[in-house]
Amino acid sequence: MANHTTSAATDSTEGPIIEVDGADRLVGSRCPACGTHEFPPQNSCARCGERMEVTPLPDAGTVWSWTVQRTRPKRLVGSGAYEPFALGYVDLGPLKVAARLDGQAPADWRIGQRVVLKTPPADSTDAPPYWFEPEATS
Amino acid sequence: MSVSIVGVGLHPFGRFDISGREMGLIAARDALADAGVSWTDVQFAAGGSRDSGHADALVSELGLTGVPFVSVYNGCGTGGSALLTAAQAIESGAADLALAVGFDKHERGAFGSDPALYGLPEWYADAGLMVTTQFFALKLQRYLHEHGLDPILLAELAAKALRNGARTPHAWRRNALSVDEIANATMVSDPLTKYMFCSPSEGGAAVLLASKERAAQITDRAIQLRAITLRTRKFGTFEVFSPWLAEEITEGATPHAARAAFEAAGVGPEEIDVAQIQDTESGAELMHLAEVGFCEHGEQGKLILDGELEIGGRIPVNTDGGLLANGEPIGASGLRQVIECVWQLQGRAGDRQVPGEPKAAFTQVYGAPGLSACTVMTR
Repeated sequence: MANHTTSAATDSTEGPIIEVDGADRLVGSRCPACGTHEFPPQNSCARCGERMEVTPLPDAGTVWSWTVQRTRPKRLVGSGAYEPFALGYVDLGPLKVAARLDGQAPADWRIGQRVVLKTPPADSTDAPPYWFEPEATS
Repeated sequence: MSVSIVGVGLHPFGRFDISGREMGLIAARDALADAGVSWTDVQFAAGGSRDSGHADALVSELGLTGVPFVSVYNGCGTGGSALLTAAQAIESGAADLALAVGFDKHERGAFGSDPALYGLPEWYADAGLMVTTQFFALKLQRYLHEHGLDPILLAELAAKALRNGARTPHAWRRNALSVDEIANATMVSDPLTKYMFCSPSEGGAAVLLASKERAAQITDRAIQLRAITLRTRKFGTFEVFSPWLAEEITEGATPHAARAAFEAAGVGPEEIDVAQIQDTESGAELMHLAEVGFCEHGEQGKLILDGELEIGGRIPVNTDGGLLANGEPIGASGLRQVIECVWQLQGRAGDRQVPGEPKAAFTQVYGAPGLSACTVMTR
């Protein structure tokens, strides 16, 4: 009988973040058989059906595609005045993840930009659980 | 495939004061009348609707004949799936007269979606990431980038759709707009403006199929359904409501369904005289033109700007204005494409008739969560 305590899949109410060495990371799953990565974690690999293992995902990557949500979606956390936001897929290497993009004007995003993972403070109620921002240039 | 289309019926698409089910009923009766047969002659039926109840509830008004009726639901591909089911009943010999019907009546505004129905976490929707329009925009942005295509092509395709819609009695949007008006309209999700998206709408459609032998007894203007194929996504495709995408993006369901349809029909894409292609937004038409084999990826500019897709062009696409002009009643949409092709092949398309007596037609419908159905028809 399957041991459900080792299940990779998260509960639908669970968040997408885990803490690794004091830093927030996106939590995904990895297939030990074929190396496929998925997000959020799934029990079974979409490519080969093998059981997956939980793994933290890379916290930096490049914008793979982007657009702007110009009007308020039917469902959105937060109750303040609506501000259009950018979103896209961030290429993390073994997979791409859907994410909001912040830290610059929504229409100024370009494919290929380097970005890093950001998460809200623990007491935040209005923010998405994670987003990506342009990598700081020094 | 040895299946004939002997009758078609279409309730106009748009917004109406009657129920979706009534529109399905009207379409079914029109299809029967078009063929000159009665409901009691029908030996098999398949139908679908997303928001207007069980398709087989139609039989309580068509007549409780005991006919085997299969209700199907396959997202935007529901109409194609109903037709496939009915066509297979004919092909297998189980029936020699079969009806495919679809109808719907949706609320205004984009389709809302519940993450639980897709096995997705609540935070994905709460973060504002579970919106269909975003998916189309994201897929398209990447496609334009990879193939170096000019976004003005999107406005050109939308202008074509509305121009054709203006000539189509059953269309919802019947006002032509200029390329500039479309390109400069309110941006919904970059690079797509509001006139580049179709909207949920209402309508009904029905297609009556027969074996070749039965068709010969019924009508002298039967259209041959040479192939109908349905394919779902493989690993690595880019589909709606995906919190993640694979390391390598692979070909979607449409190229597989289209190639299989052309192969089964023994007709190539270069032989097609008229086609209806899924244009949920104009970027979908742009990408599907290459996916079905009408041109290479990145070569769409020539087809569009040289007028090859216009009525009177080399390969007219979406002659009744497609989804952009008709909106999308999910259950009926794929069948509308087939009906428009039937009318074109029969020379019954009125002001929008493709000249030169078209002989071969193609349709492609695409839907969530990643499936595609294609047909090839000939006179």
